[in-house]
Amino acid sequence: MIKETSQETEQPEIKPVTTCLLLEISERTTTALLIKNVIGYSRLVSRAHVPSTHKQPENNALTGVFAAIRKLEKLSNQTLFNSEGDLILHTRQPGRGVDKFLISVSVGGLLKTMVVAPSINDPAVESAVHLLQRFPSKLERVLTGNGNVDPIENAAWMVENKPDFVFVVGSDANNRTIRSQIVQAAETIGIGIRQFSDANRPDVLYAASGHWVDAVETALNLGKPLKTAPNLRPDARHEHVKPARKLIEDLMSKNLLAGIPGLPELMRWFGEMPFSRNEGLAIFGRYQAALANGPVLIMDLDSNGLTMVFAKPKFTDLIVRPDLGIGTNLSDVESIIDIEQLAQWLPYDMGSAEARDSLRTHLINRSLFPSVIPQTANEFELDLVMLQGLIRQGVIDALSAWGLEEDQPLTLSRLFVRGDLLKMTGNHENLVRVLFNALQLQGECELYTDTHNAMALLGQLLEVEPTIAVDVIESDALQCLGWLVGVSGRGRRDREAVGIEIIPVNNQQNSKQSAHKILWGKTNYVSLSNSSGVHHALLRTKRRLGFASTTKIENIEGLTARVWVDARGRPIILPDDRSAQWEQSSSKA
Amino acid sequence: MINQVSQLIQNKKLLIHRQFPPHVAARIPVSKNQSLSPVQIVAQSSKEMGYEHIPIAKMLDVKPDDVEEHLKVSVGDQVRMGSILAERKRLIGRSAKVTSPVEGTVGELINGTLYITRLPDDLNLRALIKGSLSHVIPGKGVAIQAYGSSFPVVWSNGSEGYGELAIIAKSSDSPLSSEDLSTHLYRKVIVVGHLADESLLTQLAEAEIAGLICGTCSATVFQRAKALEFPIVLTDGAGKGGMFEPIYRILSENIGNHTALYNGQYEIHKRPRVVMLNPDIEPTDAESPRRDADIQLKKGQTVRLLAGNLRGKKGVVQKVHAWPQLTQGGARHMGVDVTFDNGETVFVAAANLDIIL
Repeated sequence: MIKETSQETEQPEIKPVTTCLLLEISERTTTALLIKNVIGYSRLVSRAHVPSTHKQPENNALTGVFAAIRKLEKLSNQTLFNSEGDLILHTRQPGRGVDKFLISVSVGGLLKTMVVAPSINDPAVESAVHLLQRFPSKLERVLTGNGNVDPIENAAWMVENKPDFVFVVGSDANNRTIRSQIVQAAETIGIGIRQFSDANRPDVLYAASGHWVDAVETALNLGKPLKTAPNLRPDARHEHVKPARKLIEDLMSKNLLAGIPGLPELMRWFGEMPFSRNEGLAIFGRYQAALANGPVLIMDLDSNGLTMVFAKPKFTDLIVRPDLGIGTNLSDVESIIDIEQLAQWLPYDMGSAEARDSLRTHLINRSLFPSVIPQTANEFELDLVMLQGLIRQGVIDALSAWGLEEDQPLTLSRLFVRGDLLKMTGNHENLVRVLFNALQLQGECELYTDTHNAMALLGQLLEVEPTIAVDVIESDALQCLGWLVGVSGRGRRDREAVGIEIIPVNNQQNSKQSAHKILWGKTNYVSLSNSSGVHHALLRTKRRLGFASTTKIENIEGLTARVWVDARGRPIILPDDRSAQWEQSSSKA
Repeated sequence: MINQVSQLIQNKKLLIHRQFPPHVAARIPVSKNQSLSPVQIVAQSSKEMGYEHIPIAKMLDVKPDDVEEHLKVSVGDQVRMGSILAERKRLIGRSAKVTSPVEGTVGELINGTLYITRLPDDLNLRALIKGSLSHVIPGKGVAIQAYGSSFPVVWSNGSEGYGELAIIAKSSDSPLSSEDLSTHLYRKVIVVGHLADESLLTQLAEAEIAGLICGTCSATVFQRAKALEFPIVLTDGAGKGGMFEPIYRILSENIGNHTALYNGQYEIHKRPRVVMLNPDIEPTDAESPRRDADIQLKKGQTVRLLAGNLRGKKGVVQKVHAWPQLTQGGARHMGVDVTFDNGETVFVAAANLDIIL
């Protein structure tokens, strides 16, 4: 528990929250952010990044946490620790302590999972797989009791592989055959689970039909009541995800977080369970989707994997793909991604076999040295193609979960990017190129980057202190890079695909009206003035090229933003000149 | 940020840790100052081995519901291999018997099938090297003291082994060819600079080598090597560059010496490494040089490049930049100017350097 000094803890409830300390422990970096009230507005005033210390040689996550807070103390001139080394909370003295303290964690291994269902065709299987993708988990096997697979063999497999978690699902059909199938499957895994000692047994969560719970409990014969959640997928049209999700989160905390060196001590020091980074991202996504009144995508690509939050008003989906991370499993990524197709995106002309081999070698070395920075232009291009492939695969696999067809172009209102993806792409041009190639966006969307690692923490803050969180989000805590415009439809090479008109407002000096033509088959960007109050209008040409409206007017406040246009059509066809770089239409409008 | 540090130890006193991860409880069957042989088990842990299912109803040709009356054992009984589990007496001829195929504990009888939990098997950590026990890490493992040379490698296929060191590479970067395999390789740890042909792995397996130390290999060899049973380590990763010259030199000086390949899973720093014993070193109490906790790049420091055209090449730091510099990727990174053996001086991001101690 965080200790407070006696004179500083008087009447802590009366004082409104003005100062917040937010802390995120990720696989590589521990980030500390300080939010303070500055002349009536909450602002992100300081941030500190230190290497995470939950692995060797330090082997204690707390070391990195203290180092990050100490660094923040120095940078912000805010005293955060008292003389006894405890965090100062609820102080009334300016420049001392914080009113709110949040910790978010995104480290830990993968939860080995197994889904048990009456049959593979049961709609509940799809829901279970989808739900498990929201967590850093690895689905080892789907076990069914419909006689397609030898149950004894399955039980033996279970003993050999020992999953951390067994998820029993099945839709609500009032059918004796289905009942006997799930009971048979439960009997099989019961034999497997009982081979382990009580302390080592996998956790079982039952989220199938309520009619069968007693029969399944008897078949499992584990000597204790089953952990149950309402039926995940009672029928093809309904899905109850939340209760099961909450129980799986608890299991995650128990199984994964508790095993991270220093995390149990951190939990005792913090006084409660740290938040999950993914939950913070999901809240942030929901807020942004409501604000934009349209679909929003958050992407975080790092050594842990690819995390995506897709949110629309009244719909949020979180997907974690640990198999698509920039880490040790990159050397196995060939089983997921078609390397030959990916090699076609390399911007130089070489034999297919050579390009493929070069990419394979690069992926292996990336898995051995994940922190290495590309030393040559060739390595850099290989890195970009690799990033593009990982994101593309993650998005294609997720499209059905987001209610989209595979050949349907993705349309977004806002796109948020964070993680190693930002560092590895080097500059904004490369980042946008990777995003265009991987997402194949259509229409117009705003692009934001989370350079301060603040997004997940601000998501958590939205839950507990929404006024402060909104204040900080609106004060450019995230960097807006401008607008991405993806042009679809048919066009002719080197003919105008889209026109952009920049219209200054309020008769600003040094700003003038300008118009730009973007040619079909090209990628181009238009820089907008960094003076405030510039309007820009996107005008369609005679052809209908995928814009919902003829004119789009946006306000840009004090930013150097660009309108990035990809006029290569959808789906993107590889350019003849693969090394074509971004062209700049105008440096200053 | 520094990517990694490699300590190349030559002809010094070595301390080799053999220990299980924190969550695994281990038994230590050796005591302090005991002399150890390479096959000596220095730490043991139990591994659950699953169960055996015996279809008694089918074997006795009775209905599943009738099996219970023929059973000679009950739940919880310990049985040995060959113990009688069930017997059906016949009026004419021999009685039908079912015996246990494994040693274990009798489990449940379900639908005419009896389950026997096998006794847990021991997971053994062997010393892999001749030395003496320096100290015991209670409940985890041991530290072994030996004299010789050692260096970390970048990858291991997970297997461990030991044998006499033999170099069949013509040079540190020459690719292995089938002609090089004509020499007697049985139970030897083989050193090659570069391996591009995956069919040579089959030949090496057939020659029953004890292990393979390879500089670089092709992507196809890498994928194949993961599934092989004999230990393979890479000193430099995938590519064509061959072996890091200082490592090749250390190996050249240890031809014929006992060499052990550790996979890193049971080391403190979780990094695989190669250890070579040198019988000519006089035992001494002097410790091998210890690494500082915080190693900084400085002028004159020997480094190995981990990326780019000169990947795997040795260089010396000429200048440490105080400010981030522009790389070819268009981003700015902290780094140093490094002069390589070919005289070329280039800016290298700090994350791309392996500091050689």
